[in-house]
Amino acid sequence: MNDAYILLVEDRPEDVELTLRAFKRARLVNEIVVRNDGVEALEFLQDAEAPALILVDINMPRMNGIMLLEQVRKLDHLRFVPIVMLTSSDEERDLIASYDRGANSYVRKPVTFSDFADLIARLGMYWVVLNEVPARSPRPA
Amino acid sequence: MSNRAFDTPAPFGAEQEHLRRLFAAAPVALVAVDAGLGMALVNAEAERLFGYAPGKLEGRPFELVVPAAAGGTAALALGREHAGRREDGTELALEIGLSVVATPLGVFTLAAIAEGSERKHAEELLALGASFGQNALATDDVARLKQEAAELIAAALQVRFVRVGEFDAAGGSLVFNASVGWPAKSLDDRSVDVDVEPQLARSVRTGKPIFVEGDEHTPASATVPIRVKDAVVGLLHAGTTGPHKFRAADIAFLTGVGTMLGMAIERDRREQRVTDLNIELQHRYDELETFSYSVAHDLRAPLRSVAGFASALEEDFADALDDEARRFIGLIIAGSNQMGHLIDALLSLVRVSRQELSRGTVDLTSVARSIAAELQAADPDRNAIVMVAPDLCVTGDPVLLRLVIQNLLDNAWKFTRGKDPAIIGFATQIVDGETVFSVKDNGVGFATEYPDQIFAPFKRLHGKAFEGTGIGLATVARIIRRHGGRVWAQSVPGSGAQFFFTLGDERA
Repeated sequence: MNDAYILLVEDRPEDVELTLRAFKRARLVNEIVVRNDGVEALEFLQDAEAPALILVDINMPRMNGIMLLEQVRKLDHLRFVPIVMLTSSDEERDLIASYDRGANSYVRKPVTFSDFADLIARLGMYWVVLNEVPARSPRPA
Repeated sequence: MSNRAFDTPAPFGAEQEHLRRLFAAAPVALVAVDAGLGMALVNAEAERLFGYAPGKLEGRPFELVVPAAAGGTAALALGREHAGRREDGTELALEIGLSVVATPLGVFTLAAIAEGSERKHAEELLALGASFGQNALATDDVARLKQEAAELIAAALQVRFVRVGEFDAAGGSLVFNASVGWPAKSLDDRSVDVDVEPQLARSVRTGKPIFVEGDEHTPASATVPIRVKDAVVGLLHAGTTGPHKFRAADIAFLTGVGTMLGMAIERDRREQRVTDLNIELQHRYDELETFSYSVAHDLRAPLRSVAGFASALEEDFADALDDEARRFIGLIIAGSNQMGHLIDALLSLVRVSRQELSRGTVDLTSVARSIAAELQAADPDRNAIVMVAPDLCVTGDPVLLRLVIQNLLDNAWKFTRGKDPAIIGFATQIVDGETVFSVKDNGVGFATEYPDQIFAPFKRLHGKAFEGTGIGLATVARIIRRHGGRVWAQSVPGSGAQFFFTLGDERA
């Protein structure tokens, strides 16, 4: 369980900083890998071990969160990794698009930091600590 | 009385027998009327026309078959058209030509009688007009209707050319796009400057039909304006080379066709306006969608930064901060929380406008009871009594109506905070035949000179005493209005408030 890491895909540095802070507050010790961009995240994922959880923001330049989600689900070794959309909007079209492409959960980031920290704690608890990711096929050589 | 002087063969005599035979067999009804206005001689055709058996008319008074004859032949001579009466009493239209014949036996008036074509013509036109009218009411294709009108007029009135024109939307140029008998190259949607043709111009200006009888040099023509209420939207122009008299029935027919074309054109224009409005509405919806999508994404992110880093400041630099600094930070965080709620509420208000209303049966009683239960569960120490009338079923959008009840009960719950017990009631009454719902509470109420203003967004009447964004009631008002209902409120400050609403369609 210790090598379980979390991938955070988020373009705004302030949001990255606050999210990392929230993880610290929640006392989740997993390593958190950050990529600022859908394209970089995809490149990273091609070669890496599957993360325990992927948190994706929707509103990103170049490749937005929903497009990233779609691409990630195409990769064999990532088909069962929990992906949680972590985003500003609760617009129906984003919700539907996310679930259609295989997101496991969709969460709107609260404005208040303490609420956000609680949310991260719950997410981490559920998807990383308690969750059993189904056995994945070995990474292609 | 029978005038036996003319009994065959005596009057004609043997050598005039052939004349008598000619008279008898003539293909037009002939009646020889004597000085006493009796029918001295009646031929077979006349007997047939009036439906009498052979020999039954001779000797009878002429007024039996032509009532106007009672006024003497002078009355008959006044015009060609007269009413006739058949043996069975029915009327028919006649055209009578008279000539006076002097004979050794006296002066006779010879009447040549034909069945009146005028009335028949008028009846035919009426029938044609009626069936064109049916068409005009039913059709969507105004262009084809105009062409049908042109062809109908040409055939019915036996005129050589007919054209139907309509003014463009601005009312500036007249375009003739349906015709019979006009050379194609001079028409086909080319606009005509009405002022160039004085007859057309006059008809348009006065809004009245103009008829020209014509002569060898000028074609006869009729110009009839097509009207929609008081405006002239087009013209019917019909005519023929050489002189032509437009009879009363023709004029009525043309005017009728013009009226029906006018109705069809108006209906078509109205439908076009509706289509245009719908397209515009769709554009507005789309703009609204784009707008709220950007608000959702772009406004919340910086707000989170403000709240998040203010919080971080408070935590990480606790030692360096004095009470005043901490107070400031508290205000920053509170402000951003407030703004977060406001954005949520605004988006929710906008969503209410964007959404298509769905229609279903909604049991407001069970909705209210479940909301009341939630409120009590969140605040178990409060002593509150919530009474909900049973069987309050309505037709409307279930999600939106739930929002209404939620908002109203939330408010009632909030403003009865200081009361023990808090009493909230949701009930209905019939006022002037209308079902009026009301949520009443015994809370602090509100005081305002303008009670309608509380339904405007951002209107808050209690300042800092009660939290809230001031959007809730605006959402309620918008939802109720979308259901075709009304909402209003009244209050006695200190004793409580009551919020009323109706729903447009309450059948359930």
